[in-house]
Amino acid sequence: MTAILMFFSNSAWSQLRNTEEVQFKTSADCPMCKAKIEEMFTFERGVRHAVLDLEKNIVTVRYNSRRTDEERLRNALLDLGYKADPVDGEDEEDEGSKKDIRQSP
Amino acid sequence: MQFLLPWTIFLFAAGLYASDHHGENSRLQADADNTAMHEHLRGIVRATVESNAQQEIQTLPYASLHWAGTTMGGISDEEGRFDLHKPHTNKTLYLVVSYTGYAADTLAIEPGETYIEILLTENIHIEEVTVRRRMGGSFISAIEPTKTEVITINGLQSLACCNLSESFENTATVDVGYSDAITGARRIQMLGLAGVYSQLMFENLPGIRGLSSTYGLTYIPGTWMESIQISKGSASVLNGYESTTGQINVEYKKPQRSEALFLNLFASNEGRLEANMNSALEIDDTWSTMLLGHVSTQQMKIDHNNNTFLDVPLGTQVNFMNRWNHEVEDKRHIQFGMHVLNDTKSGGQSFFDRSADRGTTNAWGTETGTTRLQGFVKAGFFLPNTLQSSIGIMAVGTWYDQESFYGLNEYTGEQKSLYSNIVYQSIVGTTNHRINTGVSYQHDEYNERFNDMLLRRTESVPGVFGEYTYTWPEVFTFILGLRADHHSIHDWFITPRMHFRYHIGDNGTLRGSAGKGYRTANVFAEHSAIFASSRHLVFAEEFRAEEAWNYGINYTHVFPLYGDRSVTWSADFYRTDFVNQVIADLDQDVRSVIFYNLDGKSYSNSFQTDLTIQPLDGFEIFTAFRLDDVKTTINGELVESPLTSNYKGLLTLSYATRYEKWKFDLTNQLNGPSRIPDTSQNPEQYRRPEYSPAYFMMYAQITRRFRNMDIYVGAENLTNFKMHNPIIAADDPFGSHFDSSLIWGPFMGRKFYAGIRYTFN
Repeated sequence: MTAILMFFSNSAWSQLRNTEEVQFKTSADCPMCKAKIEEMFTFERGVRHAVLDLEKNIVTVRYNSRRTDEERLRNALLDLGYKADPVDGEDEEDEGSKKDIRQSP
Repeated sequence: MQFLLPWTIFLFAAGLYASDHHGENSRLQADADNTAMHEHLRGIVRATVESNAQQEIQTLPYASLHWAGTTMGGISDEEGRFDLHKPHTNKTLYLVVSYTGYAADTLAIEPGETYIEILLTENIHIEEVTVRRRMGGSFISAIEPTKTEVITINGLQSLACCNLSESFENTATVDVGYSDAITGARRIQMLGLAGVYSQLMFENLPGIRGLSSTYGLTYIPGTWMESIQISKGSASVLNGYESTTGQINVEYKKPQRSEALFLNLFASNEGRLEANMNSALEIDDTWSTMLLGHVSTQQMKIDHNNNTFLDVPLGTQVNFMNRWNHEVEDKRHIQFGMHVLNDTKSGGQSFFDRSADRGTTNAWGTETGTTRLQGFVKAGFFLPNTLQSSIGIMAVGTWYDQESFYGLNEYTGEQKSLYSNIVYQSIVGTTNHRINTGVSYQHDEYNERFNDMLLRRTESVPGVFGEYTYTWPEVFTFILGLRADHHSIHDWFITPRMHFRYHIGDNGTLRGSAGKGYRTANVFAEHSAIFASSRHLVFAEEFRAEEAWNYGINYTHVFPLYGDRSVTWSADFYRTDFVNQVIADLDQDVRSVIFYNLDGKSYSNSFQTDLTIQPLDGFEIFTAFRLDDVKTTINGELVESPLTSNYKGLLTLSYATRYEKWKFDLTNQLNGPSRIPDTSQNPEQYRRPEYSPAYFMMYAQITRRFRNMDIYVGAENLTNFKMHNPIIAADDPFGSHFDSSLIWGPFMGRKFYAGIRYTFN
């Protein structure tokens, strides 16, 4: 059982190959929206882990880049009825840039 | 049967009356579903709190809760927990939650919901209340006056196979075993006593009774069920005089809240194939309907122990149900449906050829063909001009027909049954005093033939009953019930019953019950295993009704842990004392089974303790231990009841990743030894030890959820433990020592299975 727990813990996921991370600024601000969005991503193809920070309204998705891409993930969030804006709100074109994520204070 | 006609007319007229009547704006306070249960809603209120710019979730004590449109409600306790009476209705209810500093908000509570977690969010701009649910595979309801263990759909799905008889592996309360090594018939035990002493119900209607107790447990497909409620000890008098050791109630999926389409396919490596479906359709705001279907088949011949007898009978079951739901808020709730079943099984020696060998001693074979038709109606109506009174009416009619042969023995059985009751529910002064009263009628016609022996019996039992419930809100509930039934064969049955529940402090619940139960024995159906043996049937005397007292006490405590986690511990003790019992004596003479009325003592003492811990998110440990002391007077001597294991240990581990994308379930069972009926008169090679060994069983399953689909694989009996020679004298089935009925454990080995569930909404 311990082995299973270790295997599925979050840190193990991120060590898997081809894992990339993307963040979206979204419109969700309630715990139910959090559950809805996280559950949706959980069953989205290629997604390894998704978590929504309610305070910052930012959803962080770790995914297998060989099975999905940012565009699909953004569309999935839009399809659910939430916004999926780039985290760096000023640069619309470069929204996917993963290295540009800035922590709000 | 003429007696039945007025009932039918009455039911029909009552339906017409209600559908024509439009009353004032008062709430439907009861319906046939709920008259027997005083429903509660339990849960916890939490809130997000800002501290040091960090958001923290804390429990919220003293939050106010009330049901919209009523004065019913309460406040959460110091731990944020609450336990509310739920207004009796099958409609969505609205619960208003408020707390100083947070705006009041309203939650939709669906019928059947018994537990919610509420999170109030502190937000300057929007005040939000959200609901999150988490339900383990099974839990002990802290709110029912009787201790009720609920196996949820989650629990049912963690043991994918296949019908009601295979749904109890995760509980220590109910034991399931095979009746014999040939026919596939299942038997259950509760408190160490045969399943017939507990009442098997579906949606609070009599479900499996009479002749269908032989195979009835295999007639309820696993995927049709929404939940199973198991309660030990006396049940409410509203449900009749029959339950002695407890009640098992199955809730089927409901048309008003089920998948548009659900499909399930299952296969095991031993050749069992199953297909299940259900489909719900909402016709308009008030009408909905549902189809449920099941086909299963076993065509592969399996004989692992090489005794020439098939371990699993071949056969096919076709099972179909159509049910309807009609609900008009504040006025009425009507449900009706029909259930059609056909089941054929054939077993015995693998080379048995029906056309050539039947009626000969060339090969031993058995075949059973069963058809069952069942129709049911349940209706609840509120009474106009009163806020708190309602009438519930229910009726179920069953026709059961079985034809079988076992070697050279032939058995046919037919049963026609009708059960109906009307319950009036009201309050006296305040809702703290509640009265249920009503009349019932049970009619059974049995027509059985075993070789040349004919057994015909008609039972007609009108009854009246009343039940008083006193509630001291949040603290104490006391129920006193009494019923009187006049049985056409056994004269009067007077059934007193009592229950109480007392909350001790914030986390403890003490419950007790005492009561009487009666039933008439159906010796062929209950001991069908005898057919698959060479034992002679001896009826020593006319049977009296079976009659027993049951007393029980139980305590449940919730220990809060760090965060919002808790440990739930419970312990219970039940005692059953038989006044009369029909004894099947297998000990006196190894070549016969002798049936007679109890002459002396017969009792069962059963102690059980359960512990549930959730040490990590998604990881749950459940452990239980049960000790049984079951003795009965057989042939003038007080001895241990045969084939009843005297202890049981259980450890289940289940782990689910976030949102249950992956789910791992592991069940471990330790079953204690049981006394094997005396075989010392047999020649040495056909003798069995006095006691069976203790044995260990392990079940495992992995489930992967997708958006509309689940895939699961699993294994039963992982340690591959089995009885080596389940059949005595399998080499000489027409000789005088042949006996396949002394079964104390599994005789099939490790088995693997896989399945798929598909949901379309």
